[in-house]
Amino acid sequence: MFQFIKEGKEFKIIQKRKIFLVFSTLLVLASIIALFVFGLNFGIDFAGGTEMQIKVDRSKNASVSQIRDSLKELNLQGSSIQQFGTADSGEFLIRIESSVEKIDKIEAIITEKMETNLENFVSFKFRGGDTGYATFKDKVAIADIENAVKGANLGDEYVIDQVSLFGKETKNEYLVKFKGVPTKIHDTLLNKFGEGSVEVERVEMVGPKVGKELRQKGVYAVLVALFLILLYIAFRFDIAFAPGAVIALAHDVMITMGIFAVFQLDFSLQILAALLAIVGYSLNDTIVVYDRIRDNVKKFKGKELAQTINTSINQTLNRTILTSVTTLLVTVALLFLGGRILRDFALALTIGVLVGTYSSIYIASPIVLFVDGIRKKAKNQ
Amino acid sequence: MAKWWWTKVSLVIIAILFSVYYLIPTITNWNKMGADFSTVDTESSFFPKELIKLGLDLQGGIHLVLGVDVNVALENEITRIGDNMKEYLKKDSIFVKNVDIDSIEMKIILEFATGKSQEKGYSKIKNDYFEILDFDNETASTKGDNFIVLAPKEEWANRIKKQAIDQAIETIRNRIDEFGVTEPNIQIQGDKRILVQLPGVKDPARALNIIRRTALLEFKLVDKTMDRLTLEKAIDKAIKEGKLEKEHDNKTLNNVMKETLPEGCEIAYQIERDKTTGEVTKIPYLIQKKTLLTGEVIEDARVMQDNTGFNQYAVSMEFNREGAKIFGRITGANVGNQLAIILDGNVSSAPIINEKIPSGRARITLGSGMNAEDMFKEASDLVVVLRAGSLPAPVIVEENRTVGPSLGKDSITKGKNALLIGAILVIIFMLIYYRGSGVIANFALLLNVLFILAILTAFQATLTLPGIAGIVLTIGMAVDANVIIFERIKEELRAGKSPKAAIATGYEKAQLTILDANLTTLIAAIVLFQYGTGPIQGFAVTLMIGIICSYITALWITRVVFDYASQKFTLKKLSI
Repeated sequence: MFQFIKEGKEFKIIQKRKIFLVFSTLLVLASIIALFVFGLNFGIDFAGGTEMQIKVDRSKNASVSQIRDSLKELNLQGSSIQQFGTADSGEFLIRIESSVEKIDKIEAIITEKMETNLENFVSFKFRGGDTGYATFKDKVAIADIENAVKGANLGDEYVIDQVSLFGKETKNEYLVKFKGVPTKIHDTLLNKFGEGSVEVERVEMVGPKVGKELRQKGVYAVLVALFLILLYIAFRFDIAFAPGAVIALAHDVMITMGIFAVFQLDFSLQILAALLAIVGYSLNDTIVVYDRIRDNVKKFKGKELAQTINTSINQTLNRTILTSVTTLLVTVALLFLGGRILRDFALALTIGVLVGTYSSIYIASPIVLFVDGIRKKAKNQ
Repeated sequence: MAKWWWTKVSLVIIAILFSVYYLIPTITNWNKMGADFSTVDTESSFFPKELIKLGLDLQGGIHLVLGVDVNVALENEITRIGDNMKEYLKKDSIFVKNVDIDSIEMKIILEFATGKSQEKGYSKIKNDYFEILDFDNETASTKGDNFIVLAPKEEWANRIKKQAIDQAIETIRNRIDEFGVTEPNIQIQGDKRILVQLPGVKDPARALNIIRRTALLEFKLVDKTMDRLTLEKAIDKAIKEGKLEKEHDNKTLNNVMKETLPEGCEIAYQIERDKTTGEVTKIPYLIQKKTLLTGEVIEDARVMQDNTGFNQYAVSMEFNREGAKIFGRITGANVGNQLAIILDGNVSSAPIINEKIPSGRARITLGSGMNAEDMFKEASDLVVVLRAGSLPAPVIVEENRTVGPSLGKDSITKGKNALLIGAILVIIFMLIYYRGSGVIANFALLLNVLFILAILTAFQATLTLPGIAGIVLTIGMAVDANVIIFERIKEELRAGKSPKAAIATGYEKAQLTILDANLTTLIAAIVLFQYGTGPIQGFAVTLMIGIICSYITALWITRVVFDYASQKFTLKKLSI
C-alpha cells in the first residue's frame, strides 16, 4: 500500500495551534486591508457597464496604446482597455463603465441643453442606458430635439439613433434613442485596422440597476449558504463544532477575495460562483475531520480532547491531502487549458482549494477546542 | 452471488445503457456541435432527437433581459379611463367640471359642478365600474364636497400589468419570427422582466435592433376582392382540413393560404382585446402587400373633437413634407378604398379614404354607429398607435450578453480539452496511488461523466462553459468519496481484518462521512442555482448532478465491483 504519510507518524498540529491561528489572523487582516485599500475590481456584472472582447487580426500587431488612441476620438467616459488572453492572440478587452452616477450626470447635461434651447421643455429622463424620454408642454419639431442633444457635445458614446413621437399626446412625449456604443467602437477600429480585421467576439452589457441587484443578491446568497451550513453542522455534530467550521470558511473566502483585490483581478459573477463552490467544498474537508473527531471522542472516552483532536487530524491527513491533490490536478488543468474566460475562475478555485485544505487542518479543529474550552469554563463557573 | 448483487448490477447496466442511448445524437454529431444546428440529422426515430443543449456561451447567440415598465401601462389605462369619464357621464346628463389624473398616485380625480351631480356620478360609477375601480373617499373629502377620487382595484391593476408583459412578449416573438432562429427562448423572468435567448444568431447587432425598434408602422391598401366573411370561411376551411392550426402566426397563415389569395395580397388580422375580460378576437383583412408609407413620416397625431357638431371624435394626423406628397398621391388614386394602418403586422385601423388629401393633414373619422364614448376610446387607441408607442409599456434592455459563433466554438474546444486532460491526470494518479482499486475508482469516474452528460441531455438542461468547469470540478471531487472509502479500507486492513471484512467495514463507516461532506457542497450548489442565471446556473446544475452521481457511483457501483471480486476470488491481499 502506498502512503503519503508514514504509518504511525503523528504531527503535533494542535500543540502548535497558536502559531497557525496567529498566522491566519494576520492573513485575514491583510486581506481585509487589501479589500479596503485596493478594493475589488468589480466586473460589469456588479458595476454595470459594457464589455467587449475583440480580436484584431494577428498580422496587424495591434497594441493596447494603438487601440486606446483610435478610440480617443470617441470621447468615451470611464473606459479601460487591456490585453486579453495570450500576448500575441490579438485579443483585447474594452470596458465602458455605466454606473448610476454616470447616467445621472449625462441626463443632467441633456436636460440642461434642452431647457435652454427648446421652448416648452418639461423633462428628460433616461430609461435604460441608451433610451430616454423627453416631454414638452407643446409640440416640438423632431429636428430641433436632435440638434439640442447634438449641442451637448457628449462625444460618440451618445449619438442619436432616432427621435420619434411617443406615448400620450397630452404629454407631448418623444422617444430619444441613442446608437449603441459597441457598434461605434467596432466601426472606429475597423477604420483604423482595415476592413474585416477586427472581430467582435463577445459583447456584454449590464444595466446599472441590474448590477446593483446582482451585488445585493450575491452577498445575500453567500450569507444564506453560510447560515444553512451552520445549521447543518449544529444539527449533525455538537454545536461546539459550528463556529470552527464557519470561521474556517469565512477565512477561506476572505483570503481568496483579498488576493483578488491585491492583484486587481476581475471580480465577476463567475468568481462569486467559485467562492460559493469553495464554501461547499472546503466544508468537505472540515467535516471529514469532524467526523473522525466525533468517532474518536466516543472511542477514547478518557483521553484529553486536545489529544483526541490531534489524533483525528493526523488520521485523516492522508485523505485530506489526497483529495486536495486530485482536486488541484483538475483546477490546474482548468487554469492552463480552460482558456482566458475560465482563467480567473480556475484561479479562484485553485486558491480556494489550497486555503481550504489548510484551514480544515489548522484552523477548524483548534477552534473547536477553543469553543469547548469556553464551554467548560462557563460550566465550572 | 447474492440476489441483491445481481439486482444492483442489472440496475447499473440499465443506467449505462440509458445514458448511452440519450447521448447517441450528441456523439454522432460531435463534429457538428457549435455549427449550424439545422444540419444535424437525426433521421432514425428510434433514437432521441435531442442533442445536449449548449449554452449561448458555447454556441454563440444573444441573451437579453428586458425590463418592462408596467407602471406606464397602468398609467395609460387610468388616463384613458379618466379622460373618458366626462363623455361617459354626460350620456346620463351628469356633468363633470374637471378631470385630473394623478400619475404618481395612480388616481382619477373628478370634480363636479354640484353636489347633486357628484351623488349621481357616484352611484353610476359604482354601478358600472365596480370591477376595476375603487372609491378613495378619504382623499376625495380632503379635496372638497364635489369630488370623487378613483383608484384602480389591485386585481385589475395586476391584470393590466400582466397584459402589458404578455403583449410585449407577443410583439417580441413576432419580431423574432422574422429572422428564423431555430430555437428562440422567450419567457417571463420574475414579474416584470422578459428573458430572450436567441442561440446561433449570425448577426446579433441586427437582431437586437429589430427587437428594440419602435413599432413598425405601415400604410397599405385593403383589397376589396375578399371581404371579412369570405376570408373567415377560407381560414376555417384550412383549419378543418388540418393545413392550419387554430393558433397560428401571420407567416404560417399566409404560406398556407397563398393559393386562395389574389396576386400580391396577404392576410393581416385586426386584434381586439377586451380590457375587462381579456378575451381576444381576430378580424381578418385582405391587404395588398406593397407598403405605401411608413410611420417615420408622421410628425404629430392627436384626438380631435369633430366639428360637425355631432359629438364625434376623430384622429388628426400630420405628415412631414415628404410624407404629405406621397399621401396626397395615394389618397387621390384611391378614393373610396380603405387604407389599412398596420402596426407590427397587425391591422390597427382601416379608415375609408374620402377624398384626395394633398395638405399632409389628415383626419380619420372612425366607424359609424358608435357612441361617443367608444369613439373616444378608439380614437385614443389609434393615436397611441400612430405615435409609435405600440408597446403598451416601454421596454428597456437591462442585460445583453452576446457571444459570437467563433468564440463559442473556441470555448467548446478549450472546455473539452480541460475536461479530457483533467480526467486523464486524475486517472493516472489514482492508478499509481491505489493500483488495482484505482482501476475500480476510475471506472466509477468515467461512469460519472457519462451519467452527468446523459442527464443533462435527457432533461435538456443547458451546458455552459462554467458548466463544463463544474464537470471538471466534479471529477476532482468525486474521487474524494472513493478516497474516503479506500483509506478506511486500508485502515481496517492494517488493523488486521481480512479483505472481505475490511471492505464491508470500510464502506459502512465511510457512508455517513461521505453523505455529510457531499451534502454541504450540494447545499452551496443549490443556493448558487437559486441565485444565478445563465452560465452560473449552468455551473450550479452540473455541480448538483455531479455530486449526486458521484455519491451513487462511489457507494453503489464500486461496491458492486468489490463485492464481485471478493466473492469470486478468495482475496488474500487487496490491491489498494
